[in-house]
Amino acid sequence: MSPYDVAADDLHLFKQAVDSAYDHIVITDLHGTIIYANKAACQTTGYALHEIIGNTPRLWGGLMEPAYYKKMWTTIKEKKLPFIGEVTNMRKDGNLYTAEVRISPMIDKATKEPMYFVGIERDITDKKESDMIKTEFVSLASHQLRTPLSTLNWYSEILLGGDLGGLNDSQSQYINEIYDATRRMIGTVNDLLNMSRIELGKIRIESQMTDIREIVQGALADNGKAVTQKKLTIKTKYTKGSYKIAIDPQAIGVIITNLIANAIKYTPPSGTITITTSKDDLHVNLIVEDNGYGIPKLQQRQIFSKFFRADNIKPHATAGTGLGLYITKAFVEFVQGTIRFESTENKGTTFYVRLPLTYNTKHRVVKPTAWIGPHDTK
Amino acid sequence: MTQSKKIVLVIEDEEPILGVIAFKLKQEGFEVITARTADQALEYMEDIPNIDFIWLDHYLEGDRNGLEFVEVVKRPDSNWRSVPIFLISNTSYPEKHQAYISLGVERYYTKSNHSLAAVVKDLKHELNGDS
Repeated sequence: MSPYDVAADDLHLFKQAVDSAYDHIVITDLHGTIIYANKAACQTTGYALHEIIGNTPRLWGGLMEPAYYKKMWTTIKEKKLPFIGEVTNMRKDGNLYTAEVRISPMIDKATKEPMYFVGIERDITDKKESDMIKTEFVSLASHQLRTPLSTLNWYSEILLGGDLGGLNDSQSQYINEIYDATRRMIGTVNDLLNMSRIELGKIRIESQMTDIREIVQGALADNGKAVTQKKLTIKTKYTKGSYKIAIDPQAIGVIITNLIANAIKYTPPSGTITITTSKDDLHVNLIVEDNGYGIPKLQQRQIFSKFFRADNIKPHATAGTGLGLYITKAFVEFVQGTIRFESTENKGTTFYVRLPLTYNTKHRVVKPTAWIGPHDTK
Repeated sequence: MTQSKKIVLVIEDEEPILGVIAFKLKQEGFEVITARTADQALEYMEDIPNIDFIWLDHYLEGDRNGLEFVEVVKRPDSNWRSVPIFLISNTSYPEKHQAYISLGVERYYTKSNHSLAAVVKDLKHELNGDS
């Protein structure tokens, strides 16, 4: 067999592999015009091959936010890097489907410039639907849990408050345990509800006059027992005009409550926690600083991931869902703010949150968009 | 009924929760009327014209929920339009809270997230502010 025959065989093999691949694969030129599509592309989109070739992926795409297309084209064309995203597209019959998309530039060896783009899509509609059902179940179950928890909470409050007469030390201690466990359970239910609302996209942002001092005091009061037991020093600093601002009360509440609760939980006895707010014309800044256990350097990248808890804090605080910072970051982003931190293990952590004072109340998170040509990016 | 006692109508479907709210409010010096359905509450309001305050849950027994109850109470021709209402419920959807606020409800509380003492304190503040 001549080298040409071998090459032809190889080529045939590769083409067969791509043609019959389970994932939808298309190749486009630099403008997004499709020059190749495999069988799965026809099956997923419902279009015949002759309808796809010469067209752009806008045939089934183009439904997402323009900002995302811009990001996609910047990634593959200017940065010459692969792009990974999630898109909602429309089949020929009008039904929507969700796909995981990966687009890679094929770089010319001589010019180092992209020549073509290879787009691979995998239909994940069924998976997304089952995720949604799980999320809705969490939401429903959490609501149902809140009613008995409210009963436990308020009945123990009445007993501890002495409204029904004084308690002896053991009675008081036992009821305190019930009360604390109930508060913890309520916290967990709130985390799960917030997570499900984030994932269902059911976060609504509104702006109203909110007193940050009240939220900080509320968060400190909720954790008052731990503060007293650990003999923590709490310092609050509010620069002038930085505490009464027009902002989404729920978002700022979740952000402050989570950061303060974490600082208290992950600071050893006799530690110090400092909460500072300041304001400029456009932003309010919140800083929560502790001299606690800190976050190990190698795990700092994962700290905002769902269900993640750093290894070094598990022996100190066994309870925790790993949802607090994931939720905090989601809420910061919902109000178009930023969050960052500095941390050194065994020295402490400082979180810096910056939130805009004016934002589009109809803002929603920009979802990944479909693959379309550069002329569509506007 | 002494003249100084304010009257609170508590509308809540869960018996144990209704019990503890009534207990706390009585302890704090209020006269308390309780109802588990919107219809029952509206009947009481017809009979007792001088209700000072309404403590309301979203999910109720009977056909109407809290929102539907508020729609009746806050109608332009209603005699009870000016009676302040606090929504104290475990329903967590902000859209729902917003619907209540736009109908004229004073404040909303997520039941499991607040102490009874804190809600009663705000209620007193609201009543004193009005008087």
